[in-house]
Amino acid sequence: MNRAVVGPACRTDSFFSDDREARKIFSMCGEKLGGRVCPRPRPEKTKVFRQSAVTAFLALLPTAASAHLTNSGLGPAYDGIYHFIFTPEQALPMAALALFAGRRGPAHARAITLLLPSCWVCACLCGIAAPPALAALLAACVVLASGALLASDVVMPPLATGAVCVLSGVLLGALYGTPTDSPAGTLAAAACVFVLLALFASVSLPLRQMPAIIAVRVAGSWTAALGLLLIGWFLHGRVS
Amino acid sequence: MNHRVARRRGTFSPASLAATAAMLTLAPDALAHVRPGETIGFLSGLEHPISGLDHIIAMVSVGLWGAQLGAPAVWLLPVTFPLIMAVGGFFGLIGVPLPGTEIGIALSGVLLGAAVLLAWRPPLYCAAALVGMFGLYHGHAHGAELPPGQSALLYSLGFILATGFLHLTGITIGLIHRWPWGEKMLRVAGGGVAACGMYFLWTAIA
Repeated sequence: MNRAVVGPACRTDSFFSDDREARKIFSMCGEKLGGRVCPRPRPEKTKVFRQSAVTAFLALLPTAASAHLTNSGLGPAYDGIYHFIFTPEQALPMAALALFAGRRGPAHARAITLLLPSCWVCACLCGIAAPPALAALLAACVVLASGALLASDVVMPPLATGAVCVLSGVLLGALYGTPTDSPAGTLAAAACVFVLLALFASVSLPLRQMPAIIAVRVAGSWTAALGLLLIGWFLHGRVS
Repeated sequence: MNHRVARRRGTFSPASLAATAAMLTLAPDALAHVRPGETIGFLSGLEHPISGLDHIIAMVSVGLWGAQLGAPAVWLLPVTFPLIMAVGGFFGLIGVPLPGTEIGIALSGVLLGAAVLLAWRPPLYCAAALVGMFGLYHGHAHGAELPPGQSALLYSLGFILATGFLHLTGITIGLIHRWPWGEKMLRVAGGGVAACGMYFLWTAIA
């Protein structure tokens, strides 16, 4: 705050002990009056310019807006993991399928942990993309089918489980797309898919007690109900 | 006096500049195109089934009745209800009309409460069909009342989970039937549910 004024009302004495100090501070605009430095105010334009420059500089400091991208700030690999974790449309059917495969036995669990991530990452990297108009419906159908498989606990040979893994892997990969320009994000997300499948398959693989099996099947029925509601949402959007 | 003049001219003090700098540097990332309602979709869905007493008593009484009937009804009925409720929600979402929805919901409280009160033990398919029919009414009401602008997946996830946990609450309460006093208390609770259902039936008809 510049309290100094030019003229008889100059009160620099109360601020500065000597001329040297006053000259130091007001070197550019001070003028001598009766042996004392009496600073005059800087031109208004200069102040506005400086303050605008400071404000503009500060305005440039916030990070860039990232529309349509998941930006963790830790690089493309973490961005890919982040994007996958926050996409329940992907994680939910995968968890249901892994629980189902674990219920069927080790051969089925091995098939899902190897085939599904491989097909998923191939579909992502090859650029296979679901039609945008039908993406929501396809995602809902995958959720419904995976939930129905888990709830019904249907007995099937490992080959059939492998076919389900290939189909769902390609479909989910096509629905996921490539969130970043770099394939590192997709590869990191594929590692995340593998970990998720392995975890859920290993949870349901040793289940022998009836309450635990019932709990898993109930989770499947809830997933199927969710898929059915999602189809309803899709058609609701079409109808309304 | 000079302060006032300076302020009127619009100059910044160091304090205001520092505050501006702090606010600008603290600004978070702009997240354009976030799906509308996504941040509150799950909680809204979780809240919806527990927002009406008529829904709560019906879903809890499904659990009570299942616990009273024992295995396999104890898990079959709570599985049937959300599944058929989703079918009802599907019909509600696509606009298929279901006449007498409010009466059906009120009747679910009356009949399920009466079943617990009387400790009725019908064949399993009959119990499942009854529960499924009421699930259709409840689901239709939910589907027709869904708010716009929500994230479909998160909303539905919260909705299904809340319904399932209401059944689990009923099953947990119903476990007291293994003791003689608990069996009586359970039947009293069933009477309470039926009485509430009668009140809702009265309001639905009147």
